[in-house]
Amino acid sequence: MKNRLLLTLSLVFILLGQAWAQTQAISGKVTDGNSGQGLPGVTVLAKGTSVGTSTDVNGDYTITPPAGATTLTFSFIGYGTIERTIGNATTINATLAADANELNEVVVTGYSTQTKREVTGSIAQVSGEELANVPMTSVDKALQGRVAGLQSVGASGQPGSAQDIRIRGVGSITGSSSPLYVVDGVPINSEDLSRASTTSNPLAGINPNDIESINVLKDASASSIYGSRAANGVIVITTKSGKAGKTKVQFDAEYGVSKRAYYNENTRPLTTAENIELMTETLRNDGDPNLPTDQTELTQYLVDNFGLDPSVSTNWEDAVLRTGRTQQYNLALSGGNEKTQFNISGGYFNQEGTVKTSEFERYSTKLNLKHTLSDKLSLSTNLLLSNSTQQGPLNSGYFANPVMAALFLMPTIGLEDEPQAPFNPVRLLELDKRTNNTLKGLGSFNAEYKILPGLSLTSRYGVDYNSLEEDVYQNPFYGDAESSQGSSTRYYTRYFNWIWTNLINYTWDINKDETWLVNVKGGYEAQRSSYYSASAYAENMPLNIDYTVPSVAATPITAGGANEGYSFASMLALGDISYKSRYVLSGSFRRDGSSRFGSDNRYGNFWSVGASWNADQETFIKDIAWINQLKLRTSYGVNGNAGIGNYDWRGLYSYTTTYGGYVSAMPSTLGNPDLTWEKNKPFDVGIDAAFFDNRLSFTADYYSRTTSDLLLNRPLSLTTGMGLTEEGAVRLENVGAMKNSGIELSIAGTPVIVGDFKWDLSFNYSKNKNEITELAVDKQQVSPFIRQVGQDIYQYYLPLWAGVDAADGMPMWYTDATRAETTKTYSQAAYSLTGKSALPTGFGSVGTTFSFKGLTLDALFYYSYGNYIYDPYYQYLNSGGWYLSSYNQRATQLNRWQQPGDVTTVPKLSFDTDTRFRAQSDNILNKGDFVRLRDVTLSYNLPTSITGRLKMSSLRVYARGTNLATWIADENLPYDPEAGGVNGTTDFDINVPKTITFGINVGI
Amino acid sequence: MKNNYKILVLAGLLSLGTLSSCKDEFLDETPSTSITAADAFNTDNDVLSALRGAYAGLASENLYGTFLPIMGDMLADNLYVATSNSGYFGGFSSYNFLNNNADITGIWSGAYDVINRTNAIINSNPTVTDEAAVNQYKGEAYAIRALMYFELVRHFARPYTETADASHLGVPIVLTPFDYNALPARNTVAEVYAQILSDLDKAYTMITLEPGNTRISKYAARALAAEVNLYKNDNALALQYAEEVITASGVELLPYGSVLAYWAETDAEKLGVESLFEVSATQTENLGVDELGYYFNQEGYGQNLATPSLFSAYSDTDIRKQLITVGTRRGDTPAYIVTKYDAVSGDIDDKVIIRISEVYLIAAEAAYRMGNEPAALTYLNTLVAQREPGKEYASSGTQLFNDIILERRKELAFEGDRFATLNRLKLDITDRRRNPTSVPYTSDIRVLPIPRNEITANANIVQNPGW
Repeated sequence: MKNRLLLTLSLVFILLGQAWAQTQAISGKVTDGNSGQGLPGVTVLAKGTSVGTSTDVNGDYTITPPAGATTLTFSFIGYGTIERTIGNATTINATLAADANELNEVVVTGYSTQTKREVTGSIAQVSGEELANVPMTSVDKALQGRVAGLQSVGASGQPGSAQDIRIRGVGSITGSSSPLYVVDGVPINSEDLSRASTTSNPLAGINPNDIESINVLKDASASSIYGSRAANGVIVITTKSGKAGKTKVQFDAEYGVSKRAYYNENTRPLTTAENIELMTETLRNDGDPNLPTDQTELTQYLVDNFGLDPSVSTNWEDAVLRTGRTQQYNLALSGGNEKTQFNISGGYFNQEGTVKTSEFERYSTKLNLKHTLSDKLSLSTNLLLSNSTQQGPLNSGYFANPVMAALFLMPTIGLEDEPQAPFNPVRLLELDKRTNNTLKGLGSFNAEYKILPGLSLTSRYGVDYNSLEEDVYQNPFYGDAESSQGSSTRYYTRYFNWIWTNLINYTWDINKDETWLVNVKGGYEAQRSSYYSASAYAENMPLNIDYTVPSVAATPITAGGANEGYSFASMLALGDISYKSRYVLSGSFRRDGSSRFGSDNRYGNFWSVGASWNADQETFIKDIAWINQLKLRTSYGVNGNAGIGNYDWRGLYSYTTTYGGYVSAMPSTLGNPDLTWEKNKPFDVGIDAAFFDNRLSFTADYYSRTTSDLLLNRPLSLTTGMGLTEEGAVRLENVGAMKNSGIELSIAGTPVIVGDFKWDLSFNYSKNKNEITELAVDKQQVSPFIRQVGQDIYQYYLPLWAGVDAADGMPMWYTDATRAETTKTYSQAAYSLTGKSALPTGFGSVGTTFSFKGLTLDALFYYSYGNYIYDPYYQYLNSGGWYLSSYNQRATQLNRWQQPGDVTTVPKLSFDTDTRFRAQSDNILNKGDFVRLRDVTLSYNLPTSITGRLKMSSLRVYARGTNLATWIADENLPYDPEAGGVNGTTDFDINVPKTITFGINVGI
Repeated sequence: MKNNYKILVLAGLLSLGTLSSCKDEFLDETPSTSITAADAFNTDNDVLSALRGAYAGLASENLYGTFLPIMGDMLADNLYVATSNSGYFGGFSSYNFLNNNADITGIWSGAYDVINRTNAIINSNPTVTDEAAVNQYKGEAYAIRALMYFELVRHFARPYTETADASHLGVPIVLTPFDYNALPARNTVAEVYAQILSDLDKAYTMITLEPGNTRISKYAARALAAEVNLYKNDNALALQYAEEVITASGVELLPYGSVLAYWAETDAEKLGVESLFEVSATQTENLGVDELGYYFNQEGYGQNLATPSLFSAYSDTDIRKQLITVGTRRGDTPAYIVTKYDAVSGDIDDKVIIRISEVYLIAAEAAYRMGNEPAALTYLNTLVAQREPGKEYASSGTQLFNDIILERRKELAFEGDRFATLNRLKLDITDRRRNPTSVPYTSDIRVLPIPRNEITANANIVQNPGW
């Protein structure tokens, strides 16, 4: 395939040669209207011909237009275009003014660059400035609240952890609902690639400071060009490139601290005294005949039988948490001349998490180089390299999880003790290790060849490389590996992902008067990702915790290694036609094939159509001075979700079992040769408007997207022999359907400008409604949710709690959804639709910026409401007396029933009778509504009078806080409101941090 | 304008060229640890690998690895769950389960999983280079399939003699592999037994080699056929087959002096006596903490204890009594700790499926049923002589029958035989350690429920009464 392309390319070069006649040379200088400085890189064209040049670093140019050329055009992005008649002059100068109108700003998708006026899709932009120097490990965390329709949730405070991103709702039930990430034209592997780390994020290997802009493609017109992978939206990241001119140097440094962001006094763990108080009352409730009445005897009784020693009261949460440090240092250089531009940067980032030993450290560097060989050929390359090391403990219900242990361990256990199940977290954090070292390389090589005016060929070869070295050491003295005398696990994983895109690009001014403009692109793309893995696990470690590698273990247990991969081959075309920039019609088409799809259903066609009306370009509106922009747009199309396993369609026999010491082949997957991508059909209608010299602007969208052919497991008879898979006897088939619809609203404005004082305000709001419309099996319970046609995907299905009976202190539940009757027998409480969901009704942000001369204060509040959070471990920490003295309980247990007439939330405590208070019910749900001060920055840009003297171009000092304050609706929410992730289910993750940092930015 | 046409033609050429150059091979990614089902039976060796896969299925926790032996003794009167326990098998111990019990669903799913694997082997069409070898593999597959249908029909349906012509409901017979849209109804017990015996006959003729007793040999297949015929009440055939195994198999009855060593030994191949077929487990190939031994050994969960009624059935000179240690456990004193299967580290116990001692018991019972009491006594006493020196039965009539059944209980304890035997004999279960202490034969709970997932997915399946 590659050979065929090279052949065709060279054919093209040979076929199209052009010779041009020699005529008189013209020279001149192009200057910037505002500064009077020479403007480098301005395109100077002899209009109507293919003859052109660019201005040099001083703004000077020389051009020899062919006979018959009458006009020279001067154009530069962001500065518009002007024309000068040639006449007899040999010197023609020009002045270009920076266009204050934002609409000439460009929007970058992986395949094209368009001005905002040309765009017919719903695309949101986040500039690199908003992401620069954030005290966050990866850029997806910084996106929270900045894009309408994009929900960004981070359940774990582990530095370098994964973040859940959902654009316009949850689009799949069993497949991935995460968007496609494209970095400098390369679709990257963005899901958690690790095998032994609790949570890791390939995006954490990209320094946010290296990012120029992020464009979020939300609707069909914007994203369908990505075909079978665009269903969940596309996030296009463009890294910084060089600009011609004097070399600029930028140095940034930031240092600060981080602590746990959210703490609820109402749900804190109990102290020893409180445990003793509750236990005494509980035993009395149960009528324990051995319970002494005398106080000293009672104290001794509690110590002897339940270990409740009043002299020990350990605060395990304090023991496990810490104040972490966070720091980053970045240096970037950019510059060049009209032929060559470069941008080089290097950075160091280190963040300690809120729990001891959790940490993330990154060394990164980036190089961007652009070179114009001739008028026809230009080349560029981006190369990003980083090495990140992440350390952190387990999450979830593992006994070695310090967050879980800090809640479960009794305060009567001393800091030096060594309990079993769960383990002393402070001890384990000292003895055990879990690290992940990731080397990341991301690069692309681009070539552009201008065949004719308006016709060019572009070719891009991109590489996304990740190699992970993970080590898990468990000490031989204490903990999970004590019985095997310690263990060492080592995983090596390597992902190599390459992509090759070749496009032909054509711009056609039909009447040569810029009334009818046509842009067309077409070509093809091939991508392959290959995975290589090796692993070793051994037991019986040396009695010295510094020696942790598998080679020092006495007993090798398993060794493994395997390969995997996926590939895509596509043909794509896109284009748009516009009339006087008023009416724009666009379309895209892509034919994708992938190794992930069944052999009978391998290729698919994806398309979109979009239209926009730039009403502000109409003559009758152009005259209205206070309307700067008024654009109506709409789009519809088809794209797909290919986020499924690499081999799901294949019926397989696996060689990974043995019998009698010999390798055996056993059926492992039933497969389905018809398996194909899930389809998404998004409809969007939107408005972009700006008024009063852009002092007020807003964007509003209504969208409705239906996803169909969702991959679901259809149940089969167990007699088919496939019953031992995790889901039971099922066949993966494209049978489901779901709908997401909603609105997005963004408003930005500058309400006050008084002299040097300016107040900017921004607001965005997203509302999404998710509804399942088709299932393989309706009303399927997936604890704690139900999958039911007509409900959303994360609808809670639980027995309904009816409170505590004030007369006798017994817990009550409703017998069914009518809530007509209550019962005190848990088994009679039917599971019912609760009307509560893990999905928020709405979310968004409010941002405000005050600036006065060089001083700026800006703040971003993030809000989310309507969702409920579920704690799967509720029964252990809120046990109504059942687990007293086994596990510590939450302080909410103090609000228990003691005598008739008490109206409480916790029933009469009992140790020997399980009242089932702790059993699954909607009592466990907490409202997830919250507002968070996500970011607040106070900064001062020193005036040019000072910076000039210091020979700097800019100097800025700042203080910045993230997650400084959190307001919640439910006073009994025990976990950080983000701890549930997208599906509202918490999992004892490391606490989300709040940080305070101080920094300095120096520009030279 | 001319240029524009040139451009359009060029663009068209380019796109054509690129479209056709996308080869399908580029989109063909294959896994490195698995083979596609279509290629899994090309050669003799492929069939052997798949056969080993079928045996591996027998070793799973759902079948002989854990559930079958435990269920067989715990639903009857040989095992119970200790007061202080790790939360497993409480359902079996107290008959406290519904039709969605995970262990029972596992047995049903596990058996049909192995049946599917054997169907694929039997229906395969490899390019044969060694015909005897491939016939051997297919023969063993027939035997494994028969064994699975036997376990299914004797637990999920009433015994053969429940109706005059065994026309009551059995289990679905599935003979095609990967028939994923099939929703089979239950065949009659008669049909299932006919299928089992036909498969065992094929196995008997096709198995000609001797790969060791962790795989099914010709005489193991014949011994299984003897057992099946006993259940079918075809006593003449049961006796004939049992006698053939005793005389012609070359496998000796376990002598008295080797009994303890035999059970202490975890590896079937080592001792060379007694075993006809055992399911293999090794140090690296085992179920970890889900192993059978883990539930008996006090260093593991140790929560499955022998019942007092079983322990008191052994006389003090019975060597088999020493396979139960009397110990203590919080809440159960004395605690009757089982040592037949107790390996928790190192090489793990192979699980015996059929052995010569059982063949003697089959012969004794079949002979008794045919009215040949002297022959019955001879077989019974030959066995008992190697278990209780000096003991010799001289009973007759119903007493002889009871003695045979008692010896069967004492001999095959903890091997999963008791529940099916009591069902076959239509006897009430009495003297259980946990409530219910008695379970009459007529009770609905003497037959396992068809798993709820099967009923929901398959409209053609009829549930057993009371479930």
